[in-house]
Amino acid sequence: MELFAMGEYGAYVWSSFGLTLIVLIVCVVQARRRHRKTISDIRLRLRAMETIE
Amino acid sequence: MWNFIHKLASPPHFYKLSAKMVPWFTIAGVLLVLYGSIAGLFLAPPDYQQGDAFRIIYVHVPAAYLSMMTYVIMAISAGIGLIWRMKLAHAVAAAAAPLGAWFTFLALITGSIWGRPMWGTWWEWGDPRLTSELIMLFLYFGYMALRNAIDDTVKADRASAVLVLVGAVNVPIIHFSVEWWSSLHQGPTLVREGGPAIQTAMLYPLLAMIFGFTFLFAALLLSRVRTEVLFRERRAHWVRDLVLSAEEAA
Amino acid sequence: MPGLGQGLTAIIKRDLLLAWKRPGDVLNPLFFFAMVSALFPLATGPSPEQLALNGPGVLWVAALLATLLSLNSLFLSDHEDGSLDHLILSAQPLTLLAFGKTVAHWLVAGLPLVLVSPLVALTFQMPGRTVGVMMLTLTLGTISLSLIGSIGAALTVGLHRGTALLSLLILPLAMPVLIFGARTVALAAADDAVAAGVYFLAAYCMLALTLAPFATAAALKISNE
Repeated sequence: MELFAMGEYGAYVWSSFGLTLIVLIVCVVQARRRHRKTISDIRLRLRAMETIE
Repeated sequence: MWNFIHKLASPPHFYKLSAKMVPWFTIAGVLLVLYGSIAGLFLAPPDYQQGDAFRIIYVHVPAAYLSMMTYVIMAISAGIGLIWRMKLAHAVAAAAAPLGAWFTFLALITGSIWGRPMWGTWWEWGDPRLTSELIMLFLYFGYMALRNAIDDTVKADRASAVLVLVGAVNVPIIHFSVEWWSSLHQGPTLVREGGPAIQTAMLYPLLAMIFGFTFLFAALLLSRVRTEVLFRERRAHWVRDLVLSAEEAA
Repeated sequence: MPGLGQGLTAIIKRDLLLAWKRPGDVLNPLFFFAMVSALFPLATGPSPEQLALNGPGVLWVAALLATLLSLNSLFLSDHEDGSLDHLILSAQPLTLLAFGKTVAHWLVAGLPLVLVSPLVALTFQMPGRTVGVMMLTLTLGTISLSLIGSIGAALTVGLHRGTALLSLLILPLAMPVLIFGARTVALAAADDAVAAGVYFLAAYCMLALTLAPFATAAALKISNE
């Protein structure tokens, strides 16, 4: 546990690392969602056009 | 060689090629960041002056460096897009912007958290580096706002390209601000005459984090550009075939 | 074909004439400047020490906001009545014409601001020597702002909610001007050396003078396609 205390700076160090991790995860999740949505939007449009033809 | 670059500029080729690169970049990035974090947090000795608080450097420096590198990439892509009218270049600039904004935000926040125990303050309005990094964040916001406000993709590409290039003046200001003006922020540690001013036990994890973050950034950027390319080329045949084929997962 | 000098003076004259017919273009930003400056003592209380302390900053922020307000109309009327197309297609280089319009804008919006500023400064208990420095910094600053602002105005001309976007785009580039302008005036009030700040403002102004017209011209062409 003493390892995690980081002197008296534990809160500062861990919040920095934690925030960084969260931001990275958010970026990844956002990118994947956007990709999936783009593909499904295109698919929807293509299907719609097929039914019109 | 020119054939390779020429092929790369073609969206379907880029899409296929980048699909292979993303996993490798991700793995390299994760491994380096894991090593850098563990070594930086637990193996590197505490700093003589700052104690364990200095360990924030292992996230702060990569974030700050990437916030500037992203802008440089955006500016170069914007320039290429404007001069050679390469659609892919514009797509790169568009995809990079949110990433750059996030890294700038991270740099500011981790810097602030680090500054609290070290300088006694969460923020220092008079500081040139803090101010110019904040300006950087606003430049990213302005870029994204302008893109958003223009409906036509080509027009949005070109207008935002001009904006990025105009704002590029800020990047050297951020980097040299600590040398030109008196600042709370310390001077350059790595890129200076006489080599890095930091002992190896602390240096190697830092380098690992910088490279690791860069690989992760590259992976993120490439995936975002792929999405961007799909959207821009949505009417093309190759996109149709790709989307309708069952193999296209995530 | 008329020479470059003639082209420049022609566009400046034209814009000045248009502004003459619409005094609001000059007066509105001035009133705004005066009123925003008045807001601060109304809000923070009239103690003379506080006023003297805050004066440089308040005046500079007010000047910046007033300039932002005036920038939106730089290309707007030309865009609306189609003369912008003519300017772009003209035989004169667009960079020159964009520069000319910016000069006219400063004469109409920036210069009056500089001339009116001593009146407002007096209400902030600003000593005489400081007023001189303030006018100098405001001159250099408003020129820079007109130049940088013309880029933003060109990028956002005709866009929905253009003014807000324009301000958002300009502010990052205007911040150094504000910082050094206000700080230099504060230094003058404290009888400290002002040369460094003035040099910075002059350098920024030079940079804007040499680069902004090109960016503005490029932005105009792009916005008007």
